[in-house]
This record gives sequence, C-alpha cells and structure tokens, in this order.
Amino acid sequence: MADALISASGLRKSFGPTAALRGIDLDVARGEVLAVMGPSGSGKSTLIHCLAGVLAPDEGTVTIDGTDLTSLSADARARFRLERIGFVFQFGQLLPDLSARDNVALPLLMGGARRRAAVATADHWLGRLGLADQAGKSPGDMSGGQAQRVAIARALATEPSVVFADEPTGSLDSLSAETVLEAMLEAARESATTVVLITHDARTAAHADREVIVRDGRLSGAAAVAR
Amino acid sequence: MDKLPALLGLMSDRPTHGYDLKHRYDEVFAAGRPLAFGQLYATIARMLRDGLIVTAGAEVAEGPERKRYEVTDRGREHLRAWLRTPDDPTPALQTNLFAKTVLALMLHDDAEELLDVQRASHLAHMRALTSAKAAAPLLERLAIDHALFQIEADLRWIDLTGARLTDIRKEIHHG
Amino acid sequence: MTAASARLLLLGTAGAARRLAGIVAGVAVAVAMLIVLLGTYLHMPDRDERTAWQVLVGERLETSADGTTTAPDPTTDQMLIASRQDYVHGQLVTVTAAAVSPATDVAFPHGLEPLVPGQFYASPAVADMIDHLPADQFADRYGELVGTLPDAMLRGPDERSVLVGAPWETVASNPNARVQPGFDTVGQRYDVTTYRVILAIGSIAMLVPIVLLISIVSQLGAAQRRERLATVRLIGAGRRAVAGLSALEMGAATAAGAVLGVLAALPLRAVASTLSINGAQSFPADLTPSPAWVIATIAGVTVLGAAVAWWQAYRDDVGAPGASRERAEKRVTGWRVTTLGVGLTLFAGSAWVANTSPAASAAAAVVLIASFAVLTFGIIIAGPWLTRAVSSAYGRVAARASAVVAAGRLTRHPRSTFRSVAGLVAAVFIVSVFAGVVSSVRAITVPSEEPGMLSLDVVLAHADAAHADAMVAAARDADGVERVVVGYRPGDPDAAGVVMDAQDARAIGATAVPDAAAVMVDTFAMLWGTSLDVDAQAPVPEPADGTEGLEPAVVMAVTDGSPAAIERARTALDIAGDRSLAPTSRTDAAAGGAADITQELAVLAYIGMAIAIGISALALAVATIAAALERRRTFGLLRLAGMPVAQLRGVVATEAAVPLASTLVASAGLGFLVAWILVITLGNGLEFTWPDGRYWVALVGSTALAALAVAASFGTVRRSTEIDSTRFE
Repeated sequence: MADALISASGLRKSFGPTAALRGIDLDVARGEVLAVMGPSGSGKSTLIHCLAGVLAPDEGTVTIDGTDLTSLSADARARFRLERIGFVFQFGQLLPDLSARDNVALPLLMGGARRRAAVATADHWLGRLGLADQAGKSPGDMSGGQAQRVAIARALATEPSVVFADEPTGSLDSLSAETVLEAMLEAARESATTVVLITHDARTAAHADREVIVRDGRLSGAAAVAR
Repeated sequence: MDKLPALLGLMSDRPTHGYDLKHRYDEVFAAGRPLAFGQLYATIARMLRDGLIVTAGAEVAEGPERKRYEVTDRGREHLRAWLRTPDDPTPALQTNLFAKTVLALMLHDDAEELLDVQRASHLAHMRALTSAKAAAPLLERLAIDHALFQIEADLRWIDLTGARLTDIRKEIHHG
Repeated sequence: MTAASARLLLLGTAGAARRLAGIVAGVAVAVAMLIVLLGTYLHMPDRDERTAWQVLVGERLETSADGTTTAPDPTTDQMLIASRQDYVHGQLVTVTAAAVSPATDVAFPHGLEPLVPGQFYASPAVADMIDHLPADQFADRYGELVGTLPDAMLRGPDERSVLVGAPWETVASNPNARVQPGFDTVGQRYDVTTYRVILAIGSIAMLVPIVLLISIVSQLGAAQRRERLATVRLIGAGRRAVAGLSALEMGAATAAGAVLGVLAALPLRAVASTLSINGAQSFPADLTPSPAWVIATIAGVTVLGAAVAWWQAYRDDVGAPGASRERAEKRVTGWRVTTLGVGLTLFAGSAWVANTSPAASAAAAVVLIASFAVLTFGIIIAGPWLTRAVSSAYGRVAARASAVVAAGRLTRHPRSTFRSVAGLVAAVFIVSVFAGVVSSVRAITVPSEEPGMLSLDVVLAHADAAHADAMVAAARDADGVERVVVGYRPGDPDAAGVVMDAQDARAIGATAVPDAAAVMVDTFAMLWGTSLDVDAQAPVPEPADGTEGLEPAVVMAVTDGSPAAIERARTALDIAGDRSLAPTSRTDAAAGGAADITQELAVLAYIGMAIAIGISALALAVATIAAALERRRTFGLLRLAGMPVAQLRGVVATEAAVPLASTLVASAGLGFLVAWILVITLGNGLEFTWPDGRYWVALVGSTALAALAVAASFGTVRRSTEIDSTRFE
C-alpha cells in the first residue's frame, strides 16, 4: 500500500502452546477506517495488542508512521502509545471519581501538558463530541452513550496518529451505538485520524472503509480477495 | 433457486442418469417441493445444447434403458464461476447460498472461501448503504436501516453456517 | 447455603488467603498487647495489696504543744511503725521502721522473723545495691541485713524497699509514727485508680486499630469478591446471608488471630514486665489474666471481628450485578468538627476547674479523661472533612496526572481514604499529648546550680539539740566532706529560716548575703524553691543578731560534690540523727517527683503507640491494595493506553499521603495544644517546651511505616493492571 500508516508483516504470537497469530500481513492507510472482525478467540485482540505495541510479537514487525514498534523497549512502547495512539474500550475506562473534563485531560497531563492547557483542550474535544454542557459531570451520572463519547474525546484529545477502538459501542443500544459511532468517525475523519475498529458487529463494521476478518490467527482469504 | 447449476453440481460428482439425478436433487434441495420431470429434462436439454454436459452412453440394466450424462470441462468451469459469484441480498439468497455450500462440500471444494466471498460482498453492500445513509433524510434512513438489518440477518446466517461447516460436511459424506 | 459453597466463595483465591493472613497477624499483635494490658489492669490492686504492710493505719502518737511526742510503753500486742523516703545515688528507697517489744506477739508479714533493733530486711533490688555500694554510703544506715523481703511483699521485682528494726524510743520520738496491732493487709487503692483508668483507655485504644483493620480488610474482601457475591445475590441469597458469609470468614480469621495473640503474649509479657508501672516493674504473673479472662478476650475479639465484618458487608451491600459499581460517599460537612470543638471545650474547662477549685478536682479529672476520649474520637470524626477540604483544594492546583486522579478519589471518598490512615493519626495525637506534657515535666527533673539556691553538693539534715553535736562530728569524719554548717532556730518562732554565720551561708550557696556576722537564711526555700516554678526565686538572706543561745535546727555537710561523698555524708548524718527524716540534697527533690510517673506513663504511651502505629500501617497497606484492586480495570486500561506504572504508583501514594499529611499535622498540632492546656492549667507554672528525641523518632517512624505500607502495595498495583487482568471481556 502506497501511504501505509500502519504496516505489519509476518506477525506471529503464541501464548504457551497456543498460537494466537500465525503469520499476519496487514497495511492500514493514513486516514483509513479499518474494521477488524472475527469470532471470539480468533486472535483479534492479540492482533490489535500487537499492532498497538501493547504486546511484542514473537516474529514479524509493526511499523506505525515510520516507527518500528518491535524495536522499542516496553517503556518506550508505552510512551509511544501515550503520545501517538488513542484507545477507546467497551466500558470501564473512565475514572468514576473524576469529572468528564478531568478524564479527558488525563492523557494530556500524563504527557506533560500544563493543567490549564489540558483542561482547555479537554473542553474543546468534549464540545466536538456534543458534551460541552456535561464537562463537569462525573461518568457515574452520565448515560452509557455519553460516557463513551467522553472516552472518545479522551482518545482523540492527544491528536494521535491512530485510534484503536475495541467494541466501542458494544454495551450500547442500537440508536446510541449509531450516534456514538458516527460522532467518533466524523471527528476522526475531520482530523484525518486513522481508526482501527475492532468489532464483531456487521453494522458497526459497515461504517469502516474496509474490513479484515481474523480467523484462527490468520486474515481470512476473502479479505485478500476484496483487496 | 437457480436449478441448472445445482443439477450440474450434482452431476459433476460422477456420471449419472436422469432418474437418479431427480432422486438426489429431491433428497438434498427440494425441501418438500420435488423437481418435476418436465423441468428436469428441459434443463438437461439446455445443458446439452450449451455443451455443459455430454451423453456418456446408455446403461443397460434391468428395466428401461437409461441415458447417462457426464459434465464437460466447460460445464465444470461454469459451475466454478457460479460458486464463486456472490449473490445479491434477495430473498432467493438463502437457497442459492445453501445450494452452493452443499455442492462445494460435496465436491470437496473450499466452502469457507465461498462464504467469505459472500460475506465480503454483503459488507460492501452494507458499507454503500451506510455511507448513503449518512447523507439521507430521516425517512430514507429508516428504509436503509431496514435493508441493513436484512443484510445483517444474512450475514449472521452466513457466520453460523461457517461455524457449522465441519458438522455439515460430516452429514453430507456419511449421512 | 452449605459450608462447602461458603468456602468456595470465600477462600477460593490466593488473594483471599493473603487477606486473611493479614487479619490474623494484625489481630494477633493487638490481642497480645490487649492480654498484657488486661492482666496489668486486673492485677493492679494485687500489687498494692502486697505492699499493704508499708501503709501506716494506726493511731498517731500524742503530741504536746512544744512538739514532743508521748508514746505508750512497749507491749507484746502493739508495734510502733514509721516510714520515710530515703535517697541513694538518685534512687528512692522506701524505709519502713518497726519497733516491737523483745517478746512481741506481733506477726511480721509472710512469716518473717520479728526484727530486733539494728537488723533489717531488704527487697532484692536493695540487697543488690547493698552488694555494690560501700557500707558507709548506704548499708550502714540500716544496720545488719538479715534477709530479703519475699515477692509477696513487693509490687514488683525492682521495688526498692527496706523493713528496719528500730529501738522503741527512736520510733516513739518520730512525730509521724503510729501505734498499731500489726501490719496492715488491706492497703490503699486511691493512687491506683488513675493507672487503672489509663490502662482501661489503653486497652480500648488497642481495640481501635483492630476494628479499623478488620473493617478495612473486610472492605478489601468486598472489593475482591463483589462480582462473585453479586452472583450469589442474583441466585437468591439475601442481604443478610451475604453479610453472614463475610462475618463467618472474618470471625474465623479473628479467632485464629486472637489465639495466636494469646500465645504471643507470653514472650511479650517478659518484655512488658521490665516496664515500670506506678514506680515498680511487674512480676510476669501480674501481667497474666486468668484463663477465664483469656477465653473471654478471645471470644469478645472474635465477636467484635465478626460483627464489624457483618455490618461492613450489610451496609456496603453488593446488590445484584450491574448495581455493584462503587457509589460516591455521602458528602461530609464541616459539622464533623463539632465533636472536636466540644471535646476541646470540655477539656479546657475541666482542666481550668481542676486547677481553680481543688474541691471539684476529682470530678473534673473524670471529665478530663472523658473529654480526652471525646477529643480522640473528634479527630477521627473530623478527619474525613479535613481530608475532603484539603484534597479538593489540592485538586484545583494539582498539575500532575497522578495528583489529579488521587485528588478526585480523595474528594469523593474522604471517609474510606481517611479510614486507612485514621489509626496513625489518632496514635500521633495521643503521642503528641504525652510528649508535650512529659517535655515540660522534664524541665524541672534535672536540677542545676542556680544562684541563691542550695548548692547541689550540700546534704541537709534536720537536727535537734540532742543529736546536733554527734551529727556535726560524724559529718566531719566522713570522707569528702569539706565543711559542716549548723543552722540555728531563730528566737522569733514566726521567722522563716535558720540563723548561721555569713561565711557558712555563702558556702552553702546563698547569694546577696548581707554584710553581717550572722544571717538568717531560708534553707527550706533554698532546697525546694519558693514555689514549684522552674525559675524559682531564691530566698534573700537577712541580717541576724548571732547564733548565741539558739538551738540547732539543721546540720549541712558541704561535700566535694562527688556522689560517693554525698552518700557518705548522708549516711553519717542519718546514723547520728534522730532517723525521722532522711537527709536531703537538692538533687533528691527531683528523684521521686511527678517526673518519674509522667516518664513511665510516657514510656507506656510510646510503646502502645508503636503497636497502634504498626497495626495501623498494616491497615494502611491493606486499604491501599483494596483501593487499587477496586479500580484494577480502569487502571489496567489506562496502562494499556500508555500510562506509565510509575504514575499509578504516584496515584496510590498520593491517596495515602494527602490525608496522612493534612490530618497528621493537624492532630500533632492539636496534641500539643492539649498538652499546653494541661501544662498551663495544671502544671503549677511549668513551662511548655518542645518534645524530646523519642517523639521525633515516633513521628519519623510512623511516617516511614506508612511509606513502607504504601510501597508494599506497589507490587499488587503493577500485577493487577497487567494486560492479562484487563482481558476479561
């Protein structure tokens, strides 16, 4: 692929005797929204963890925006994730004791931003996700959809190169799921952020530009055909 | 369902004659609606005309003389192309895809791949609908939602079928 | 619910085993201390019953107007008894002098042979001193040692006590002597009450960290099994059943801890028996409660543990799944400070009453102790409010991510975060009060040479005409005595002081001596000071007519200042004198005063606090781990998103440090305030000074233990947030 932001080749990863990844090659273009599908236990999570530099693969390389993650130490990879990658999870990622604003400001503060600047950025992103009037609330007082928007604002606030969204709407009802997903992708596309969307739901995957299917630790043959 | 490729698939297993073909078709695909002999012979005539099958000589046994038919290379090519062509999401999809899956398993072809092809095609449809929906007025969105749910139902069935392939294969070869 | 399923739910994990081990250890330590305290409390009266023989209960002798006493003639059914405090090398020795007729029927205690004049019994501690000191410094004062006093006649193994056989006439001339038919066996208990109250408070104070520990550990248990118990709730177990499970678990652990604690009390007893309580160390038996009490303690602590856990689980009901998310606490308000205010008012008020109206002082003392307890409670009640106030201010200025996260939790959970440090805070308060009071007493315990006061190398003995010459001669003969001074009773009976040569007055330390041949000097004031003030005003000598025709009143030996010379002079003066009062130096004035008792209370307080601090540190470690486990998913996901584990440690450390720092400073300050109130209202002009090294050691020690406790949780923080821990979807 000509302008690949993420480029993975020959990824293999085993946990003890279980082979989770059996040789995966995958390129994700800059600004692309890619859906990663596959049944549970297919190696989907392991693939994402390897792509995001959470896990180091046994074999193969992962390059994001020119940085070879597999050559970095665990600490350097954590630093890279903090600065260059955004994460949205299904639930439980917000600290219940902090306001929405502080939750969003958190990764900025961890990156060394000043409190005032971090809060201003947080308010900006909450506003973009339609939560301008909710900034002072705590996640416990919000609906599930609102909480996920806060999580999305947090993932985007550091202006990462790529956002990994792991079933971001998995615990929402259909309508909230749709609006949350649309809000996330709209915000991501406006800032040309690459999104890797992990989902088993076809309607969610249909929001992506392209999908790959992981089965038994490999990308399913059809994915290649579609390319 | 398209009967021609289904019959072609049943014949490509081994040379066979008309009566036997009807029997096997009814067994696998009919689901309570047996194939009429008229329709069978009309289809065989069309396949002979298009060169998909040839007559392989008569089998003399007890009872009436029977013609045996054999699938040609051209017939095999036709069958393969059909198997690999994803169907549009229409009410006929299930029966076609079912036929394809069963035939692929019978012929030891890669059934998973044909399901993947179908899945990719469906997702492409959904993607098109989803991007159309983003710009559509609300009432139109409702219609698109319905279409999306229809396709999603197909996809779920495909996923489930995919997960059951091993069991289906066993049933066809031993059942 | 069957026992098997209960076990599965409660003890199914390694974490649960560790948690229970923490309970067992904490309870064991506290129960060991509790058992010893209880034993001491219970046997406190026995100690004094054993020394009843020292108590004078008989009729006083008749005293005529000119001060001479009239004693009955010796009979076989009566004895004369007198007692005094003797000093030797800064130590106090209780001397009981008994006079009986040669063929007396008076029974000496515990089968001791009746003494004849010139013989004495000594406690083992005194016998030991006699072995190590030359006779002319000590033993000669009493005569011939004929045996040791049995343990049954002593409060403790280090009690310094002698029972001296004296001639009938000698005791008869002592104005303090009593006539009684035998030795008393009942004793008096009034001075024991204070100790028993303090021991009772100490025992209760020992229960506070136990309760805190159990409550915190139950909370950790709740955090760990919230999911599992939620499922139990769903399949039909009631709120009570779940609380019952928790109580069962905690009751079993507490019982095990209590039994271990009873075993641990045995070695602890040996250490504790070396501590001085009410002037004497203890016999191990005095620290050992009866088996019935031990069983009652185990049962009581077990019930307490189960009840705390039950209540904790009942109140913090997990509910069905979905509702199991941790809720924010109810907002704490400034009203929480009122208890503290009430305690402080009561405390200051009762201290003032005790000081101004002696008649009401007994009642005021009870209120004083009660208000002290109210104050301690007030600190624990006000702590969450202070924690919230400080942490919300901190949250506004915090710049680091870990500080923001910690401030958020502290502001929303001030109760549970403060509870994890409450034990330390209460301990620091109590230790601050003791340190403050003790430091001010210490100020007068070490006398120094002061202008106008009696020189420290002078030994003063009261004299009369009959003994004075012999005393002067004996003192002159004593090695190390440089000058012997006689003070005479002035002609004017209302005059304060004795008359002596001006040169003599200067030799014993008087200043501003008028230019006259003879001067009148107030030697009593030179010895004790004009008041108990630390900056005692030295008496001013006045000119006098001369010593001619006056009766001697005091004989003073000016020594070379060496301890041996002082003791030799003291022994010489004593033997030659009338034996009713011990010769005294200004150093002795401090030896048996309030300082000793306050110091020994301080030692007890420091030891108690050390244990309370230890248990509290354990509780803090458990609470920190619980707080981390409660948020393991969120922390895990944050780590996955790139949050360095150091920042997570920062969160956990800040969450302990902020409540600890804010309330520790406040409680230390309050402790000193209380000490200051005590000192200025009750201390007769004592001066409040900064505490000694032990206090700072206790403070630094508890801070270090707290840091250690938090650091101990770092491993759990790291492990529980590994990627594997977040992959349970």
